[in-house]
Amino acid sequence: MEQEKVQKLIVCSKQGDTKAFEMLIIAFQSLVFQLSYRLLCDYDDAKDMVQEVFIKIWLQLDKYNPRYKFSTWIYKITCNMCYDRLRSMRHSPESNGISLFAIEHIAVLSDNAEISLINRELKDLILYFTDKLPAKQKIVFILSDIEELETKEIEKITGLSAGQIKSNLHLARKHIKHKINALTS
Amino acid sequence: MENKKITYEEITGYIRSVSPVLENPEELTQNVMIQIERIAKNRKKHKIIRVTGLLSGAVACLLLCLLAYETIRLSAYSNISDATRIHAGDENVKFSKPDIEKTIREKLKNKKQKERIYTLYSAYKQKNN
Repeated sequence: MEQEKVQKLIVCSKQGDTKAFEMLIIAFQSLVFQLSYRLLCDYDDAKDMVQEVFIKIWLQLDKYNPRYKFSTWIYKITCNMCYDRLRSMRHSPESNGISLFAIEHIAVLSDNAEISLINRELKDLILYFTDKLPAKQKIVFILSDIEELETKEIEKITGLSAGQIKSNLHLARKHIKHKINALTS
Repeated sequence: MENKKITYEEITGYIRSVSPVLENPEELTQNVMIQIERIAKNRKKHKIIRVTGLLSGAVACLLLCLLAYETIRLSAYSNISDATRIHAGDENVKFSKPDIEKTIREKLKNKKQKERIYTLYSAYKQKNN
């Protein structure tokens, strides 16, 4: 969606127009869901997160600074909420066994695969490589190497400095590479 | 499992290429909207309560100020002794009524004198005729 149209919808939403806000939800729902799913690796948690994020956005719409992209602000809220959730919850180690299954199927995954299978495999894969990562490193890895955001945008989203982002990303990559080596050797 | 070499780029590339799929996004949107409309309604209710509270508070403050003003004014008046009060009263009161009475009395006096003169004059005239 164009930035101008988004800004118009935000102005209307600030005045209490729920229809305008519904348009915003439709436009940014998938972004929030995908990021939440990649961070939390749980379908229901990611769905809950979508609801919580949009309710928070509705309540804090007055605090939005139009100088920044709306998507950056959404990323920031989602990351903060996922960070809290990641810190509070501990993933069960069941994923370690399943992850091998997921990696075996990277090559053979077809476009016709069912939605649940895709989600499951993706979850297993992410969990296998990032489960032991601290929440901060995981967020930086997802934003940088998966969402492919620029360092400046990650700085705005996470509130970390460029140096901190670099070091967190280095540690995350090292951990994942170590996992890959352990798997293939 | 095949013992083939998997690189970091392959793993990240795969995760990037496969987007998690949200089943029934319309339902999720509706759920969010239901909650938001509930919040919006509650906000309106709270707004009315807040405005009413503010108005009542303002009226209460005004009444309190009025009461305080009256109390201070009365207490200041009651602090003056009776003697002072009476003295102050004597100084301030202007007696205008007796002046009027005096004027009326003088006028009446003049009138009576005139009548008396007129009667004397009439008697004198009759006598001469």
